[in-house]
Amino acid sequence: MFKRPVANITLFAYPLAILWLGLGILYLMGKGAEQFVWQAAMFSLVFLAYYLLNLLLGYRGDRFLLPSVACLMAIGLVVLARINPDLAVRQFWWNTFGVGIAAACLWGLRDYRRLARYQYVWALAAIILLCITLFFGITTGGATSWFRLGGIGIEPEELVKVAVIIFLANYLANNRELLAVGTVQVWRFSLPEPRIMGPLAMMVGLSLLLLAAQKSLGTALVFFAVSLFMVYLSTERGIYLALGLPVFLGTGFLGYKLFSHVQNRVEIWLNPWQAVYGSGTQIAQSLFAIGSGGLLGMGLGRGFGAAKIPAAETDFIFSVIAEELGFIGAVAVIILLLVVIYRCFAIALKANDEFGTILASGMGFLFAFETLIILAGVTKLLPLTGLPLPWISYGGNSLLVHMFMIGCLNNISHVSERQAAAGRIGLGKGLAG
Amino acid sequence: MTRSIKRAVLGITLCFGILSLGLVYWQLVKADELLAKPGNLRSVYEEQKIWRGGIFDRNGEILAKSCTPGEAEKLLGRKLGPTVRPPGDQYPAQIRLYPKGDLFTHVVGSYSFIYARSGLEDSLNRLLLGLGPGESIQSLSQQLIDKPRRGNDAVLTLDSKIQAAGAAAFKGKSGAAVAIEPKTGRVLAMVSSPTFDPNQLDQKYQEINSVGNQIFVNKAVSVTYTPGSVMKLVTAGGLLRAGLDVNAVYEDTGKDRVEANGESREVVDLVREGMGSLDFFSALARSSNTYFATRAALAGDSSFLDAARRYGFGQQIPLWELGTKSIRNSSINKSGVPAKLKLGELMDSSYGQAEVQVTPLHMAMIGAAIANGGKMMRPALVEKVINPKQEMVYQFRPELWQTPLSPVEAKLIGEGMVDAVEYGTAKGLAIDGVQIAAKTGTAELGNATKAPHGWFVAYAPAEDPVIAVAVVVEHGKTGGGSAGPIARDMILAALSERR
Repeated sequence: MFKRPVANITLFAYPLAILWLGLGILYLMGKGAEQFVWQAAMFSLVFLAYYLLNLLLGYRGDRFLLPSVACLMAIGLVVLARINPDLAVRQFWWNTFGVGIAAACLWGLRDYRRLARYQYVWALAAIILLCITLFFGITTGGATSWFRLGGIGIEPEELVKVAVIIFLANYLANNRELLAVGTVQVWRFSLPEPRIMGPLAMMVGLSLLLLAAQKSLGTALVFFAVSLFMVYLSTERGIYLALGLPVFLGTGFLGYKLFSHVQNRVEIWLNPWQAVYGSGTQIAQSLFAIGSGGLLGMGLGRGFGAAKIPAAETDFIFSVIAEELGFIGAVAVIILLLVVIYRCFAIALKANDEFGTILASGMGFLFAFETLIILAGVTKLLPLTGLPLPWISYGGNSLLVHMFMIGCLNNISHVSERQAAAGRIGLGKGLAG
Repeated sequence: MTRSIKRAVLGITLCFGILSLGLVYWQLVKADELLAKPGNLRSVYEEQKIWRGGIFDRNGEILAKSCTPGEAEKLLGRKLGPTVRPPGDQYPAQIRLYPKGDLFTHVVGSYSFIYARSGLEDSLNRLLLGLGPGESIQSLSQQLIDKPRRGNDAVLTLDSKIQAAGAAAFKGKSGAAVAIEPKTGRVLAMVSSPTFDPNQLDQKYQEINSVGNQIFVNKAVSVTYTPGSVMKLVTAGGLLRAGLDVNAVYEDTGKDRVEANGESREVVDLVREGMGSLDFFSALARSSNTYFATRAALAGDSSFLDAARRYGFGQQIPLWELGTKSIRNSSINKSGVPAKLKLGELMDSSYGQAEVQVTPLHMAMIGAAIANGGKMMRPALVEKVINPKQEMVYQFRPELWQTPLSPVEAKLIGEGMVDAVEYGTAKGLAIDGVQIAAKTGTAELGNATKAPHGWFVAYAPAEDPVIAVAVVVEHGKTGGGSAGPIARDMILAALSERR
């Protein structure tokens, strides 16, 4: 039998090299990177342990996903250590913990199809979590998106992301034929009957409504786009996308008319220079930072954006990367993110069942839209809506949830490959016998 | 589902491509433009590597200097507020100090860690930093230097005494005043009112901003006003060139009518009952609208427009020291100096109404040209620039800009202006022992509910002028009453220095 290398050690060396090299540069610049030695060592150990565990247990799934994600994590940690050492200390622990969660999800879950069993539990959990936030949440930056539990800030919308994607994946896997064919004729198009559409529309609609009530516009937009594309993907019918566009434009217009903060966002987007000392300062400072980066960047630790841009550790971390690491560094981050997204869809294509395919694609869509919406916001391609940049921005909730999804993806990949191999072996045995 | 997955991946890749193009746009195409935007303090921070040169008036008085925070507190006599300082301690903190407070705010400008540079602090930035040709602020970011370089010092043509006399005379009224040395074009004073203390810009921005009334604008060069009767100094130039008989007597009855080319137009005087028999000198001294409007109509639009062109209307005034983009052009109408004027427009323009617009700087230059035998010098603000090795990097040399009048024409107009002080509209403003030449203006505004702007253009001594002044007081009513005393104080300050 052909035996392929389960996990190439060099792939795992890249993120560690980035991490230690970055911290080394910060140390030489006198930015106090020595305080991270223990945390960085812990992270490296856990990361290598993950590699050894995979080797030991015979991991057969995608080899590139976790190393790419770890590269992003390493870049995020180095940049965060430079922007705000206090937060970086915490983020090191979150990252270490995150790798553990990915491992736990990959090996503890055994088979991702177990996730599908509790479809309505996921849906209910999502709705309840959002309701709790809405009523007991803390408002920061105009959005009511988190609450405190035992001293730790919890941001339910991150958890809800997974819950909704799992629910949708299972629902679509079960009903995709019915959704795709349709029985109700509307002009030239046939649409599925309300009985089929009902739970789907209700779940998506309710989540969106609650997010809108919290004023988490960015997350609402991501939810809407991810749900829409998951439906399109599973039905292969462009009509759903075509229906989604007017809904999106209509809602957007309504939001613009109804909410003053939406109007403000659009106004700032159109002309951030007008209020360069006021409301436009965030986007203006972001562009100043990006612009000053040039091709090769100012050099790690030598940019001004880190001190000047509001929320440089979270939503605007990419602008700091673009200033200090330049166009080269920024494009490297974009390519790494694109690699992660490609791997999601590669896993989706190789998945053995429809649930796996739709689940992996859904996660791919989620990563893609999160990345696109925040990066387009900080580069003034679209009006800004605050979102963390996956694996790079500071924030424990986002990181843990995204690492859980990476674990899921690895599980889908591993289970599918193992079954495929088992099928080949079984086939071989059958022929032999 | 393979097909839709492939399509989705293609779409996502496309979006990421657009995102990367966005980065190309900001990082490579627009980088320099972003660096120059107000609010982007990167260049200001880089500039901290250079100990910025000082700005001095012609007598060596300090108008702006960089100093340590301790020195600044001693000089200001008060504790510095929470000043915004560049991050990191690589370079000694420089505080930009303006010892004269609000006196030179608009012309010298201000240098702030938060807000955009203005005035000479902006336009002379490279000189004050001592940047060599081809050296840029960006190139500074590549240099790692231990101790700051020193920039150049700039000595201006401005005179603190004349500036102070003008600023004090405004007494809270709004407007602008410019004083020029007629023979050389040196700008001696440039006042813009209202003003504020640039030492407090960072701390009190909101408070200053709430004053309104274009407080951040240098009205001497960046605002144009309707000139009213001071425009007759230009019209007179055209009439004399067209061969006007200065002794011919015109009977001013308070109103007159001109008919030409099928057009008919009436003109009225501010003095309704008329001024009686006028020659050129008394018409200028008593500021007769009917005289100038009818004479201009008879001479034709081209003689008026040619005169306006010779005086520099519609042209960029080359006061490069202040950065030409902040200096507005004077104009006859919206198209600058048109090729033709209709009869009514011509007559109204001849006494400075219709659409005529001038800057206070230009009006001072017009007065200076008459004082200087018809030669209009390039206005100058910088006397010399000295580098840290005490070498002269730049030295001012007088340059001729325009020649609007012949010496004879200038002398005739000058006589009319002397008459204005002796018995005409500027009668109350004479100075003992010195002959002053002056012209008043009362610029009526299109909005009749607002009081007209008061103008005053003067030079002294009439026989050997050392100073020419133009003053505008917004909504000051008559020029003699509002702007005249300000000009007089400035002239007195200049003359007292001579003695």
